[in-house]
Order: sequence, then C-alpha cells, then structure tokens
Amino acid sequence: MLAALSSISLGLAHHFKAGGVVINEHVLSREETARHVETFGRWFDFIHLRDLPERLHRRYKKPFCLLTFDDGKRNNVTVVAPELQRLGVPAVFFVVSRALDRGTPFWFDRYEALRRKLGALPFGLQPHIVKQLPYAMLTDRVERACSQHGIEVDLNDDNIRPMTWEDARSLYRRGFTIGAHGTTHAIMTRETKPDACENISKSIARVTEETGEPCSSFAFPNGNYTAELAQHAIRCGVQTVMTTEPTWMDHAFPLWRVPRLQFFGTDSRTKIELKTAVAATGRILSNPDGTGRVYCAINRLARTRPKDFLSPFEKEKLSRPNHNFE
Amino acid sequence: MKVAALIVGEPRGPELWTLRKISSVRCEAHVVQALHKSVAPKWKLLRSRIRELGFFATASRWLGKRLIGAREEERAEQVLDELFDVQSLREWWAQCGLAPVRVPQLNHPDCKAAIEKIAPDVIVRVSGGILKPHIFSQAKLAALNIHHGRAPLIRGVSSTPWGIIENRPEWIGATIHLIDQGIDTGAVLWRGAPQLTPGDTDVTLHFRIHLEAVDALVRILEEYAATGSARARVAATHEASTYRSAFGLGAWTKFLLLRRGRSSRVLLERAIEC
Repeated sequence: MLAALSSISLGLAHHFKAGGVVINEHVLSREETARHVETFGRWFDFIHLRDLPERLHRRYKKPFCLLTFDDGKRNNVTVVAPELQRLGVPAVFFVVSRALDRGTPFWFDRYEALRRKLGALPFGLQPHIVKQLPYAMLTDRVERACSQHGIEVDLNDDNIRPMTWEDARSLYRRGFTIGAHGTTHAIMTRETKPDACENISKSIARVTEETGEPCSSFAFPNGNYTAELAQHAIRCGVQTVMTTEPTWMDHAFPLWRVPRLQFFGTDSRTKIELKTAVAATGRILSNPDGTGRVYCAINRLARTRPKDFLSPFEKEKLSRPNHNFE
Repeated sequence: MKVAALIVGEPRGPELWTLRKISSVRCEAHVVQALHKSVAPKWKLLRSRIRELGFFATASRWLGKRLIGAREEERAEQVLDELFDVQSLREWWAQCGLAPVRVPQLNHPDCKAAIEKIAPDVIVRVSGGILKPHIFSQAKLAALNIHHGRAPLIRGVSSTPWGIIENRPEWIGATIHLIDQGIDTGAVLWRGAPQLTPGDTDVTLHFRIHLEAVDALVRILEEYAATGSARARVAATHEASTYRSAFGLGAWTKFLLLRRGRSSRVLLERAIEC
C-alpha cells in the first residue's frame, strides 16, 4: 500500500516538477548502492556534475539525479565506487582534506561510538548542543568524554577510516568528481568568519593540488551555510556549492546554493521514493542541518529578490548569445 | 597584575566561562560576588521606573517580564548552561581556589572596601548592573565591561534580541569597553560580531558572541599585564547611538512570533545575501 502510494507520489512529482534531485549519501554497502541506484534509475537520468547547469535550464523527458557522497570514507573507494562504475553511474565524492592528510577518524564517528557505549550522552554533548559548538570546543569535549570512558573507534573499518589522497586520485582517474568538504568537518557557520573562510579556501586548494585539476565543487559540512561563505567558495574557484536543503533543484536555485536530499544505506525503496516525492513540495521535510524548515522561508524570500549573485559558470552561460534559459 | 572580577549571584555557564578564561591569564585573579543585584526596596525601584519611563511603559515591561520574560530568560540560561558545559565548569569552580569575597551588592560600601583591599589593576564586570564611579574608579589601569551588542551603535540590555526584532544586523555583536559614568559609552577596546546564520536564535548568537568576546578580553588582559596599557582597537566614531532597555510586552510578543530569531529577516537574509 505504502509502496504504491510512494510510487504514485513520485510519479506525479516526476510529471509536474522541472529540474531534478541532488542526492547526499555517506557510506553504503554494495547491495545498498545497487538498491539506491535502481530506485533512482527508474525515475531519473543520472548526470555528471559538469552537466548540472545544462540540465537546470533545459527541460528533458526525465528529471536528473546527481549522486554525491560526503566525508570521503574509505568505503567510498572500496565498495561504492566499484559498484557505481559497474552500473555506469557518475558521482561526486566530497573529501575532508585534513582527514585524508592524517587518516584520523571524524568527530562524529567517535561521538557515535560514545553514544553506543553509554546509551545516554553526557551533559553538554546532546545532539542539539554539539552542532552549535565551534569545532575546537566540540572536538575537545568529544575527546575528553572518549578518553574518560575509554572509547576508541576501529580505524580498520572502512565505514570509519578516511580514504587517502591516492584513493581520491584513483577515483578521479576513474571519472568521478572530487569535491571539497572543508579542511576539517567544522560546521562553518559556528566558526568565526575568518576561520571559516580559511577552512573553505584551504580545502579547495588542497583538492586542486592533490587531484591536479581545479576543484569544481564544495559541500558545506553538516549543510549549514551563509551566502557570504558560499560566495567565498565561489571566489576560491568552485562552480557549485552544496547545502542539505531537502528539496528538488530547478533553475530557480543558483549554483552556489544547491539543495540535496539526504539518504542512508538502510533506507528502503519505498522510503526513498516517498521522501523524494515529498521533497518536490519544497516545504515538508526537515533540513538535516538542524534548522528545521527555515529553508522554506529562505526560498520564499529568495524568489522575491532579483538573481543578483551568479557563479562564474552561470555568468558564462548567460553571456552566450543563444542560451536556452526558460 | 591583579584582576578583580565582579559577579552577581551564583555564576552560571557564561560567567563561569569568563572567570575560567580570566584565570588562565598570567595575573592574580580575585572574584567579588554580590549576593543581590540591588538592595533598594521594590517600591522605590518601581517609583523611579515610572518617573523614568511613564506608567504604561512600566506596566508593559512588568507584564512582559511576568507573562513571557521570566520564562524565556530561564530557558535561555538553561540552553547557555548546556552550551558552555556548566557541569564541568562548576567542577572547575569548586576546585580552582578562587574564593569569592561576598558583598551585599556591587555598589555597596562593603564592595568598595573589598575592592580597596584587593587594590586591582584591572576590574572586569562579569555580570551585574550598572557600576557607580566609587567602584569602577578603584581600578589602577582600567575597568572593563563586555557589552553584548555593538556599542556605541546599540547600548543597554538585550541588544541581540533588539537587533532581531528591529531587523538591525549591525547591532548584533559584542564590545569590550572601558567603564565610565554612562551606560556602554566608554572607549571601545574591541568590537566584533558572529556570523549571522539562518536557524540561529538569540541564544545561539549570544553563545558565539560571548565566546569571541571572552577571547578578546583575554588578549586585552594579557596586553595590560605585559605593557600596563591597552590600545583602543576601534577608533572613536560618530555613529548614531541607540539605547534600548528591557523588553516590554509588545517586544516580547514580536520576539516570540519571530520564533526567537529563527523567522527573522535579519537571519533569513544571510542565506541569500552577503
């Protein structure tokens, strides 16, 4: 019943909605990768990141689907990428540069291990609190709690261990895109402005340096963003900036504020279809960045404003004499 | 260098954070703790309020505080306690060896005597009301205050909530200034602002503002300790200065309608405009 409802809803969204969806995943098993690809493949055309501007401004028979994977875990290299390659699906992998430099686990994996071991989280480490903290304070608090309770994460687990730069280069050579996801996985809006800008620019520069090609995309860790930081990322040379606003993307969205729908490996086909259909309304789902449905008000406000801030990529498109903008 | 930190009541998260950071500076830190904000009888305070603001404004402020303000302030303090991890700060407070000198009120003669005994080079007002000259003039070098607003643009209390409801992003921030006879009118030593972000509330903004301000305070104290003076980092300007005091009933209602800032234009616009 629910499966039929989700298929009908997504069918309707597919029929009436222009544009497409950008999907945000993290780690997946081989079966989960295949299931997600099969589910999206029924309704969408998988596209490469470079085709995104073109797909936004021209109507195609099927809406598009761009797959993105955040954090740069080793699982992306050993499991996800080979499966995507076998299925012929392009994707973007966003990497946290310092994690690749040092091979250290992310704070949220240690936090998760802490939560699993203790059951209840210690005072000052509740989910609604940790995501408000600046990175230094956050990691200090998590480290202190982990050492107090003797918690270590298993770095032999590919779902925890970050990939290496060699892994990132191998993904790039196989046709995948490598994007920047911060020097650290700091929530940029919780840092001071100079710190956030430095974090963004250094991560973009590092991806460019390691892959040997200009880094073309940046994804905000946890999704929290401001226009000022997104503009800074654009000035650092990327063409697209990703958030986690859970809506479909169409030409009304600028490339510096690309919304993404977040899915997890355990999500069933029905859940994926239903969530994707609901996201087409642009007002029901909660943003996983912790801001709830504030994005609805932002998008309403954005529609009342002239599109005065374009990425260099959009400017280039607009300057062409025979562009096909709707 | 001797630093006297002045607080009122039991210190909570933000105050403990400030005290901990002050104690990290190479100085001899002392804490003067007032038991009450004011020792004047309530009817006297009410009479002076009515004289100052008029009957209706005073009534609105009283109603606002009774119906909404008290609950909102308690809620904000609880969230700030969690953000500052007050439990670990309380552990530190119990073990740090800073024995506070208790006085009835910060402008009380007992407080003056206590400060005279300490003979501080710098006085830092960590919490409490307006200090009178016989208190702040006891500092040999400077008496400092953290104002949670960008002085002199906005002076008084609740500058962040006022900035939210009046759509004034330039008011949201913090200032470290010398204490003089006016309210937040002294020479500005540091002024900063946090990133304004969609989804923020007055409390999350206050938290980040306070972190930045206390870091700046530590730098200023270190400068005083090293050189005996601190240069004003913000040149005196002729910016229009606005004074705002506590919320009335109307302001509280508007603040709640804006979901404590979440639905305010001043924050939503940060997602689409620079």
